[in-house]
Amino acid sequence: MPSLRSHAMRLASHPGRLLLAPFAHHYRKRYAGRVRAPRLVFALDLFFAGVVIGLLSVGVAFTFFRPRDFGDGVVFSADVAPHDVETGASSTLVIRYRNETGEDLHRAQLTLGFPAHFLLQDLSVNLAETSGRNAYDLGTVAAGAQGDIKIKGVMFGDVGAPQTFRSLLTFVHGAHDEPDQKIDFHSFTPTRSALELSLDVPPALYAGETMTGTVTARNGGPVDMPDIALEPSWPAGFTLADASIPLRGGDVHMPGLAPGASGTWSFRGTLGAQAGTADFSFRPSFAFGDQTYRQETLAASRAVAEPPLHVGHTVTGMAAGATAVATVSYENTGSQAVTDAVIGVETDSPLFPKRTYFVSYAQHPALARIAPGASGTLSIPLPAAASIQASDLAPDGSFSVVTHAYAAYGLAPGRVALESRGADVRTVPTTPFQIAASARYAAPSGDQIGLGPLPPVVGQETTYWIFWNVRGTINAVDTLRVEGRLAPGVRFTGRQTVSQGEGVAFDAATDTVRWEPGTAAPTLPPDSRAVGAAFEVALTPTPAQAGTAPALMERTAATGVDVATGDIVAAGARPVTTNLPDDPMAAGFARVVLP
Amino acid sequence: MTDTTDKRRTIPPSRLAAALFALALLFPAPAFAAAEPSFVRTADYYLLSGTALESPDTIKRLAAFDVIIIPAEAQAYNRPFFAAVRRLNPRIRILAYVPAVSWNDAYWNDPLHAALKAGIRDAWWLTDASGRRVSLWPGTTALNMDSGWVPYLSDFAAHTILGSGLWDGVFYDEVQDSIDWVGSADVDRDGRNDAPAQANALWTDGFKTLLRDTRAEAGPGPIIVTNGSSNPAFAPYVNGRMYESFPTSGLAAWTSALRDYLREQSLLPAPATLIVNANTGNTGARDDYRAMRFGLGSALLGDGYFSFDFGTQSHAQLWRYDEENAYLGEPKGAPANIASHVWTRPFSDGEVVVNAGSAPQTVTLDGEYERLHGAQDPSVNNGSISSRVTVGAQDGIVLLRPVDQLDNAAFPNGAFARIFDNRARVKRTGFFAYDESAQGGTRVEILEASASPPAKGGLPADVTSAGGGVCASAGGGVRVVADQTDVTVAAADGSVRAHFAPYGASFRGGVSVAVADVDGDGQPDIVTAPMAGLAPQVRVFGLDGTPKASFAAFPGRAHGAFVAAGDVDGDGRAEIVVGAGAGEEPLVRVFTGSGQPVGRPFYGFPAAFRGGVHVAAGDVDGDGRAEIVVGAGAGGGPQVRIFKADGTLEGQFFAGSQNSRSGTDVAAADVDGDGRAEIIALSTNVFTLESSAVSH
Repeated sequence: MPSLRSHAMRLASHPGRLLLAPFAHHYRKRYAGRVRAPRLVFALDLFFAGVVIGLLSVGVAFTFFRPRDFGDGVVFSADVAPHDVETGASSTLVIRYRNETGEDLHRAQLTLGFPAHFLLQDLSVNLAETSGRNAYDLGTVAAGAQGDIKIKGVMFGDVGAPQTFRSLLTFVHGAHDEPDQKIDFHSFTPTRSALELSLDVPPALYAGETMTGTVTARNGGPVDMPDIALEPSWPAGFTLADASIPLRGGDVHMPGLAPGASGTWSFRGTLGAQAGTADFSFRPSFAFGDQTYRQETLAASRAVAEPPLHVGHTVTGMAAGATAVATVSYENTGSQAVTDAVIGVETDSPLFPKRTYFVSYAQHPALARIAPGASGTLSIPLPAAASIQASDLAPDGSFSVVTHAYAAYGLAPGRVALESRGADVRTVPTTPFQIAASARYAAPSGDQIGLGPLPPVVGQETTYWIFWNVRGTINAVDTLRVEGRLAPGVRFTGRQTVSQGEGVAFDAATDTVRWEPGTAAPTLPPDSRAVGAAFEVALTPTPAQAGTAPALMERTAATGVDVATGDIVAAGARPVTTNLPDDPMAAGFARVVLP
Repeated sequence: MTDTTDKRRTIPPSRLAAALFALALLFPAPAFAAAEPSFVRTADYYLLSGTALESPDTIKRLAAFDVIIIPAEAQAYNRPFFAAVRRLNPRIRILAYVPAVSWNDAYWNDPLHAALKAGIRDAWWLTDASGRRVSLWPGTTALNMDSGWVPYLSDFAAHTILGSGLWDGVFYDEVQDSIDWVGSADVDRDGRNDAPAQANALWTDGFKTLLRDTRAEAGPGPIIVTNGSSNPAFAPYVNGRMYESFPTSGLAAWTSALRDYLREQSLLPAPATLIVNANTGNTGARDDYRAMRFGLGSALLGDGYFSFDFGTQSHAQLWRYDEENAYLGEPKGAPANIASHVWTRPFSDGEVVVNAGSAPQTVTLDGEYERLHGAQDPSVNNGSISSRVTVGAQDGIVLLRPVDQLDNAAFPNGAFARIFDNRARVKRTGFFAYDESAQGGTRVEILEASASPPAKGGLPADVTSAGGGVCASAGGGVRVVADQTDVTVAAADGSVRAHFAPYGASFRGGVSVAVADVDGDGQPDIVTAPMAGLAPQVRVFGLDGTPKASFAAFPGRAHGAFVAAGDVDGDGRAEIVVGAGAGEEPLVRVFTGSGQPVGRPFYGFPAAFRGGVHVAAGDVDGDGRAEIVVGAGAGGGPQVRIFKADGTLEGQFFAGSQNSRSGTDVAAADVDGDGRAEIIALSTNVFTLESSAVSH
């Protein structure tokens, strides 16, 4: 095996071999004997590798060593004063140029471009004659010469967004008057606006208060401001009632302002019911037609205190057809007297025909002025509707009434009225309770259930079925008891049927039929089960009853205990006679006839 | 040594008896073919054959009668007819119409009559003294009853007609004990016209011989009915006679005919086959309901069959009347002449009143009776209930005993039951389904043995059908009561036999219950399901509360179910029918008693309905299999639907006002004892629809 030294000596004696050694080694290791036509493949691989390397080299060269454009020899620079650009106010922009091309630039012309809605106040271009709109002829700019352009104007763009100016120098150069140009852009970002906004609201705010506020816009700049679009953001829970200038698309549009002039926009609305902080925000924009430019936002926060007059209430005696009594308590927890108070109860329940029931200071002098720390109670009647409809029930068949105490009052003379609201109180009213009593000779389907002649005949027996039906209840009724006394001469036959519980019982000593089915579920919901009883009675008319429609049962009475409220409920039904106008068979056959 | 012991095993007598009994159950028709039909008994005198007897509609309508008389040539033209009509009515009696005297060359071109004609001798024709053949009826030639025709005809009737095996008997027309009314006739063939008395005597003897010989050759089984004479000489050989054109006007004629009819019945061996045939007098006035009622009422004064048709000029009608479908049960006594020309006769399930006089009569009955719910003459059959009835002149009326109890079907205690047939017609006046021993609102089933014979094709009366299933009677008056939690089984004396909570003591959703033998052990089982608030787990218990089976009717569901039981597939064992509870899709499923599904589920109502499906099972169309009856739950109208076990919709109707949204519970049970289940719609709506007196 040749030594390393001898190997090195051989390579050194043939430098070319030294250079090719790595390739030869690579060939022997990777190609020879491994691929078909190894030399051809190796040659092709070398070629493609070389192309790739060449392209990479060109790329690197162009990246880091870009050819220099002739126009790059023209250098622009710009500066602005004041440095804190203010929209709506004057700014002076200086754009400088310098010829570093090494050649004279002939027939040079400088053209300027301004941001949209830039108000140009003054412009001067050193050593130039105006040749057109924003274009200035500079003639020949010698190599190494420089000049400047002073631009004075007013930017109206978005505060915080760049305003961009453009400078374009066109020229010819060289022996052949080769045309060329240099363009550059100069951006400046306004940081504030000459449009000054301020908000005027009462120093102390109360939750639920109807308040007014005024936004004042002032032109602090030297030129006329265009129309102003003002977008308000309100505190949580605030409800805008009206404004001096109506909102349009969520914005208020105020007319433009002359330098130093002010404009105002007033609003009125009601704060939310929660105390805390009311955050107002107004975002103004300069409006040039549909184009707007945002200016500095006015944000203001005010503390919102609880209303000074606290109210609460309880309700008793709530039932359909009855007058419930709301006992409303009030207390002035503030440091100022409350004036002209109207205190009452509000509800959206269908059980009550009106939404509000209140007492005013005109009816109750003590409410005219409630001193700090003073308190009191009021009794307010709440007349309920006569009945509850099935459509008034909740989906689960239940029924309840939600009420809350309410107060409207002033805090100081001329101050916008405040409102206070108490906590919601949910009351389950005592159930309506009706007992229906009627007789039938035929079922509503037309099936005959009575027996005997129609009309009733003196001396002959005619039977009818008397029906009792508990209806209209919204709460379960416990210890239900229905009772009725048979009319004279009417006999209880013993046949009966009931929808629940035990059957009816007949007391022969008192001629009384009684039914005590226990607890009855509500009957008003549409899918509720009937709660009723029916029993057969027999009438054998006497001669004295000829020509009359005799009674079958005297007045029916029903009682029970409302399971939800514990109240005793009672109802009655008129006497039942043989006059059955809705009966398919007995209608018109009420009066007793002689045989 | 050879063992000569007879190694054949003997069959224990008890086992043999059981086998025979089982055989009778499986093949009831032959075993009970001799049982007499209940009242009202009907017959049809239908003298058409050929294509007329091929129509499925005709076959179905003829099957509704108890006795039919059809031309004898039907055995040549219409052999499939006999099996078809017997399939629909295994108890029907088919009599071959055989004119005994007149020969009709114009119509009798069939093989049967050709064979009969082939043996007729010339000397057998009835002639006058001059040898001219005599005709008793236009277009016909008369045969002589004093000739070889008599033995020839009796032999032909006994062997060729009755011997075909297709007939139950023979109907001899033109049977008379007189011939002198034709005028000149040489009956004895001596060349001289006979004196009336002589001719009549020969004629009578001839018929007597015909009937005697027919009976002798045919045997005691076949029915022999004659048309035309009530001569007592014929009575020993016949089962009855037809009274063609029974008088429906004229007191004297009617009285005489009735007397004859009732006397004939007393002479004939029971059971007699007497047919009272009234008609329109050849006017075709099929809606002369008065005439029909008068004739029907007259027939019901005896034990005969009633027929009403066009008249002597045509016997080819299939008319059917409301009264003919009424179920009176069995007679409870003889007819009574309670007033001038007014007759009544009581039945187990009703009464008939006939006024043969010329003026309306008001009759006080022995209790409350219900008029039929008729569609044909609602002025008379208005379904009203009364203890007095006014019957028009020469009119009759069929009255029913009111039904007021629902047995062998579960019902909400206190509900009002409306009774419908399978065609949605109101069948009986409704009543309150209320059992005083249970609380209102509970679900009650009262187990009672059926006391009535089955309808055509039904099961014998000594086998109880509780809820549609076949099981031995559990003892009359046993009550199964299900409330919100518990099931209680009480005997008729009120003693508690079982008390259990199928779904635990804390369950309050209500228990749906059905009673039937679902496991085939011959004893009723109690099937339960929670009606709401629980998964629909169906459970089966014995009458003593012993758990037997449990399965999920609708896996994955949670809103309860309703149950019923009935033999929907005709295998003799009740299946369990389950309807979905409220809040679920309105599916119906059928299971065996062990919980194996039978067939596929089907929708009882449109798929979007969520009110629940009340279910019942009962044979409402008399085909021997229980149909599934469903009622819409709360939120739906009172809609009732009838399905076959495979979910095929057979019919639907509203059992009340379509404006109602309280749904309807349903039951299927035989409330009137006619052997066929009625559809019962149950509702507590009656309590809420009052007419007056609201509290103030």
